Amino acid sequence: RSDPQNPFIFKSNKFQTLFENENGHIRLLQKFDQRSKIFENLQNYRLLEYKSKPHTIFLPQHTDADYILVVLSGKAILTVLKPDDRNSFNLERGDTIKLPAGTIAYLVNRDDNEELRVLDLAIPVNRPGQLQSFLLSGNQNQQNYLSGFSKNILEASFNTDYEEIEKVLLEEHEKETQHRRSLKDKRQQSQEENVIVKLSRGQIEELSKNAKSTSKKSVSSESEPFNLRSRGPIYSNEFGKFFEITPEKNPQLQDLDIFVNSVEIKEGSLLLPHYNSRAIVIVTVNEGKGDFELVGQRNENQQEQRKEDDEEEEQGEEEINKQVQNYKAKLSSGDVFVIPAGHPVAVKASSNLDLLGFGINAENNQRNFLAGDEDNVISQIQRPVKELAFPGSAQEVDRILENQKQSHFADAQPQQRERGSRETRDRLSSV
Amino acid sequence: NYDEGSETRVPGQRERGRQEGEKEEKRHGEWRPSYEKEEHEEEKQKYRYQREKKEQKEVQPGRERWEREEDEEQVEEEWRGSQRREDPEERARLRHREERTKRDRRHQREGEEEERSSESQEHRNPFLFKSNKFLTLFENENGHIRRLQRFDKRSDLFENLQNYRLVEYRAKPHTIFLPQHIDADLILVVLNGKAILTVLSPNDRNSYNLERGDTIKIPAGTTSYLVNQDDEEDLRVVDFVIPVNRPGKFEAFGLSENKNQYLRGFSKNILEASLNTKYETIEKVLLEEQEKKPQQLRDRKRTQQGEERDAIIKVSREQIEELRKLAKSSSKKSLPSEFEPFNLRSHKPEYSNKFGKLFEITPEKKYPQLQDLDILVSCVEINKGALMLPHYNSRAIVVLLVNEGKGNLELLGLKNEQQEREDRKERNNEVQRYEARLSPGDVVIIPAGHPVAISASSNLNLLGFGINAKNNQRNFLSGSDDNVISQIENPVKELTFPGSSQEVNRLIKNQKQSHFASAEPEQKEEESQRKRSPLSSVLDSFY
Repeated sequence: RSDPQNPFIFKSNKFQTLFENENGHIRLLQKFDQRSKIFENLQNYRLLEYKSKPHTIFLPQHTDADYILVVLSGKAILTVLKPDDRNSFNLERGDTIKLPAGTIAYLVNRDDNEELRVLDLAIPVNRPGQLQSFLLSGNQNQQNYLSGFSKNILEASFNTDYEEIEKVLLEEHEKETQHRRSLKDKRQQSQEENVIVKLSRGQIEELSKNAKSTSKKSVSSESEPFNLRSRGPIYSNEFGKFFEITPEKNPQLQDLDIFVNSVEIKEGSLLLPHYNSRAIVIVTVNEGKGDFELVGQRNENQQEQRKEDDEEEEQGEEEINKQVQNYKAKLSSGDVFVIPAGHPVAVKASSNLDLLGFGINAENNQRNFLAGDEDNVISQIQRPVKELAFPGSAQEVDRILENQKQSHFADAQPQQRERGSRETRDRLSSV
Repeated sequence: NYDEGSETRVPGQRERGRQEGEKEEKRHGEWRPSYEKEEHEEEKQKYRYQREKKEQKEVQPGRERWEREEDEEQVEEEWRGSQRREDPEERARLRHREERTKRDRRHQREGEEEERSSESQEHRNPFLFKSNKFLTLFENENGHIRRLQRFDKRSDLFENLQNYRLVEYRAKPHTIFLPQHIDADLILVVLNGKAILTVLSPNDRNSYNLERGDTIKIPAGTTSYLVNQDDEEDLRVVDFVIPVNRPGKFEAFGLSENKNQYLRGFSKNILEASLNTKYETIEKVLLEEQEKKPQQLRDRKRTQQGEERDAIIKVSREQIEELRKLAKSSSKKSLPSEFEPFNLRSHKPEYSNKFGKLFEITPEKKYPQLQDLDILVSCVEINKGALMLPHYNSRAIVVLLVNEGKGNLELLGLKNEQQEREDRKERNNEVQRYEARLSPGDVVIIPAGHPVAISASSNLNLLGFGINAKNNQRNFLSGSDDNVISQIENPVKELTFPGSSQEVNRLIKNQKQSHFASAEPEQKEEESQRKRSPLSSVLDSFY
């Protein structure tokens, strides 16, 4: 039963399209704190998804936000400009790079067949949760931002006649025919009409000439991309793998205090129940299907409900006030869920599941598992306290804890009692 | 396929999603108003409820004693007032209880007229939180957990304290606060008693013997439990709480079996797969609620509260012995201090003379635990009849808790600071003196830059948490050392004060003591009498 009140899940339709044409799209997830007060601390974090067809380019622009860019699938060339320098990088699935706020960059899909999908965590610098892009390329409705300057300033700045400047830098290109229809709704959407355009094979080859790959570790890692899977997984077994780059390991993530992780859960497997000690994690489902369960406390949500819901519901709500609550959701590709710090969570894969997580408040975060052999915080409780805390004796508790031989990931089907578990599984799948 | 959500099955949710989208446009970047609205709503609820309780309030004007069961009850009801009034049975019970307490109060009250001052005092002094501003979160015969009102809710002056909360624990001898974790960083200080604190990490466990003054940071999400190991003394602990998920809000996740146990939150089949065990066994060994002890039965009626019945339970002497075995003491300095507790009094006092002592742990002083939180912890002892000389903190905002003793505090602010909220018309920058009579359990906020002086009418023990602690300086305004006024150059002294620089210097030198001094000036008994009189006349007005 997926809870309609589950504030922790953002289905993929909660992404709002900022721009779309035949070459690709840019979509922005609803503000986290708009959904629920629970996410007040995520106020200044936004999630963006880019998708583009083969042989296309996102034209140069800069944004008033720090970005952490991760390639979900496909092959890209990312070019990052500095006042006196330029760096191009070949990016592949799992490659991650920080783009500091205000950096002008452009992104090419260099593959012949595959679509490029990129996920950005944006941390705005000007206004909490608000981002603005500044385009260097001109188009029909919104010219490039240079044209925002007055004639005088431009002439003086470039020491050139305005006509010349206009012709060379500002003038709009003639639009292709299919763009003409969008003239009608110009204010709305077409502002960024030319954000993604086609590239010829020749152009791509020229751009790839200077591009570096992440594998080379020669250059200082300060601004180089890194791959999430370049270091060994922190947890790994036959049921799944957990890769994580923490601020401690990577200087780029340090000042933002963010970790990035990639979790692969095999079909029919389970990421064992655990909680993050201090990080709030924003997880995007890259591929696959599954279920997640999160344990929260009922009253967390209540304040809003009290306002919004009618009185009947309110009463029912309060009766079970302050109890733990199970929040469940089915996961499919493109969904996003948020795991607040301290909240226990478990994820089950019904098909091979690939998750990408951004953790806010990442430094010194610890993952405390509640089941499994290693990193199991419950097994650290001293025996006398085990007896006090649980109804069973310390021996019984220890025996239960030892039943699960796996760590971190395990079979979603308990092996001990096939019969009992099948029963419960049926119930779940019937939902 | 990104556009396909499985939500289509739930049309209501679709609708909701659309509404949210609309809202997003309307309230573009304006989270503040809605936040205020929420506060407002809460406030309203409270008042609605308080109206019901008004009668009772009138008969109990002063409520400043540290322990007063009726009070705790009342405050606690205030806290959950809105949900209780729905239930008619509960209301009847409530009325009954009100009447009963009212009767009790009338008897009790007669001799305690002096306490009446506190309400009006609070009204006029936003910096003082009397001990009754702690709300009881949990209580049973073994102890209680109480949390102070939000600072920023009292006054806009404390906006920067929005994400700091104060929690007080008290436990009877031979009891334990069962394992739990909280989504907040904690700085724990033992006010009184002897404890064993056990802190768990995924692969490790550390137990510490804690005594009065021992301080430890418990990082957010750390599962821990706390035992009162003493045979006689109550354990009193205060936590300074810095939430990580939501500003000023935190939740405790209990691991032990009671209604609030978070393991219950997982579905049967996740639990079975995770523990690789049949659900019946899991339920029996980990989840089932134990039969309640008889004295807890009476709590049954308080259904709302019942789920935390077992947060504090009794421990046998043998169990304590076993837990004590591995516990380390804070005095041993062998281990890395990253997570070890430290005692506030382990270093020599910052200031000390026969009138008082100030101990302080700052982020700079090799306490990495306090560094990332940028917090200082101080402990002030002012002997009876002594005065901590007027001073201000350069940049720290200090939350000061009265641990023991009584005294008076004077804090200087500017008149319009507060008026901004109420009345903007009268714009005067007049200095305003805020006075408070301190008794155990009271909390005072001392904003940065605001001069303060504290006198002790009985031996006074104060505990301070300072926010924004790094590079904080205490500037004294009188006394021999650390006196910032004596640093003013002579020509400027003449310009600043009406007297000549010689006169000013002479006056400054009159106070031979530093930091702490006698509250009774020795030099001119007569003059001081005069000076004192306005103070006492203000106090008199409260009686």
